[in-house]
Amino acid sequence: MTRSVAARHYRRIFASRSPEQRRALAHVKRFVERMLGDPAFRLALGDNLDSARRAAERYGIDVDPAEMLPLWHSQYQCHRHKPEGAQWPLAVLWDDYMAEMLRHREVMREEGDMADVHPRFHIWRQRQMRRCASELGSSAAWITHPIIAFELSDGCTVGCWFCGVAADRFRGHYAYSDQNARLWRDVVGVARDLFGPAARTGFCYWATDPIDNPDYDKFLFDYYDITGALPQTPTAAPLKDLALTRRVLALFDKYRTISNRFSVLSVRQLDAIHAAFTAEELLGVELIMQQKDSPVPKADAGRARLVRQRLQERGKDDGKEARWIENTTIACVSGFLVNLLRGRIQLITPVAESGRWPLGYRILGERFFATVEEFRAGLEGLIDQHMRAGLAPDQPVRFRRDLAYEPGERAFSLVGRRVRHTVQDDATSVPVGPLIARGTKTAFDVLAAMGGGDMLVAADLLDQLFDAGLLEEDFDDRFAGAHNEGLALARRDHGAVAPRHRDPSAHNYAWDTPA
Amino acid sequence: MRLLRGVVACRGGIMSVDEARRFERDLTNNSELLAKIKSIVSSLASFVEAGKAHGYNFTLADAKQLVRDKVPRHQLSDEQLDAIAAGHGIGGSGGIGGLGGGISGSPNIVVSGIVVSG
Repeated sequence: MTRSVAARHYRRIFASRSPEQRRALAHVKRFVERMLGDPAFRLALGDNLDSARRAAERYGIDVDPAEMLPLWHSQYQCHRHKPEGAQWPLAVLWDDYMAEMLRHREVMREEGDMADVHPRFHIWRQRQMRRCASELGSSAAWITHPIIAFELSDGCTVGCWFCGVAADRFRGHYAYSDQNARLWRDVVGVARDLFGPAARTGFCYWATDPIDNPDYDKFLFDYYDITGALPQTPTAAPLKDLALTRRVLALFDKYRTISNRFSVLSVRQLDAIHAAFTAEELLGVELIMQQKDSPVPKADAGRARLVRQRLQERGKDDGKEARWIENTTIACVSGFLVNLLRGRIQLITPVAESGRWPLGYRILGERFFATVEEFRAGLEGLIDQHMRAGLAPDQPVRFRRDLAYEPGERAFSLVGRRVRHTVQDDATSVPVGPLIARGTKTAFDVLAAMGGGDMLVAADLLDQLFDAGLLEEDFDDRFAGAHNEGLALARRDHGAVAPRHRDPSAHNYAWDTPA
Repeated sequence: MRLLRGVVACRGGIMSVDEARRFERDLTNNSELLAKIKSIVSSLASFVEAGKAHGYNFTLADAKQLVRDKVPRHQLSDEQLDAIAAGHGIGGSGGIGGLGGGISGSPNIVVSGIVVSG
């Protein structure tokens, strides 16, 4: 088993810092978490250093706010990332650390490259990455396109109202029995054999919460043992099974590959998390502030999309609030979504949420398996059927449905929600763009319209448009629409959202109680 | 006869790009060959296959080189395509591909910087 490049990069982020620096980072991190997630803390900071120091001390934050003024004081923010910012050493320490964490995201994306191991999958994934950059704009930079995700439960007990993938009701978990463990290890082994180091980008959740599976840490260790990478663990219920959470954090301490993540649903939960874990214990855990008044916006997908629609229908959301990012997604996998309990493999890729793909990812195909042989055959079958190296000869050549075609002088433009593409189209006597824009012609038809001397040039342009992810690949309606039970549940009773997890401090929406 | 000439040319050491060029020229002049090709091609790679089937020995790289020679601005490099994948086109005024590229990307609020006549 070779060492993961991404894991080495991640470990260096910590190893290159002294114990004192790591401790300081842990407390700056806790300060930032309070800033983002606790209005009372923001109020207590006040405008002067005395009140800020008292607030930090009261919350057990053992760093001096005066040494990181650009991180929190509005009058000093202009000095952040500037040469004069060196006079606030904790702010510099934090910003350098965050920059390396952002770089780690790029390294993770690169670890999914399979140019040598599986060129066909590699080319398909690259195309999906280009399409996402075009379709989603800057938010696509956050997507690392892992190649595989495993669900070790069916559904989720938490039921967050904003769940971007609208997790189903919890039905049970995949136990670590001898038989299941054997299949699990075989399945991960197949992923490693087929996809090489790219299998290290995989993780063990999707529309599930890892902590819902009491054996989760055993599966996690197996994944590390087989691939050399310890997958990320995100949970919205870190205190539900504290012993399990601590076992997961212990694995992180031993094999750290990537930061874990806790979703924080309320100030009360933030208090409880900070009480249960020291700042140092949470240095490798991102706390994502998901409270109603958090500055962290929600992706307008899954249940969050439904909530926003209902708000607008009831005149309670004028669309100006920054809580939503429209036409985006929380999905990240361009590859396989595997549910062990159902024995199901789906080939998926992120897309902007829409009525067609309300969960923010497109499902291209599906297979079922009960044995490792069937699992391998399922992966290979989906690759053969859906990962095309070029345009399908029997389907129309069309621009993506989210792109508007605009003819121009010796060129045409494709205008999306966030990106405008301009394509030079003057190299053939018959322009290619208008033929594609008709939406009815196959590649054969387009090329047949060319004279013999233009055919290769036109074919090359078609190839480039296809490789850039600008041509429509989504022709299959079988999986489109809301087939997800989690979304159907939320739609029930006039769109009422009835979270199973309710916190008294959480915001009460009018439709939480069905009419 | 044409098939024979193609093979001999290859054996004689003529570069494959020239073979691609000869194939393209024959497509222009030979309506019978053009009719056969039209029914089976959908991409540059399929042209290579079709060419091989009719005795023209050139690779996909040769075909791309031929297109690049004919239309210098038409080819996006792998790096430029990867830049699209990485989202580097966002926020720039020139967009992916810049002046020399075939396909550019830029935010809606920025007029695409690609100059058709550039």
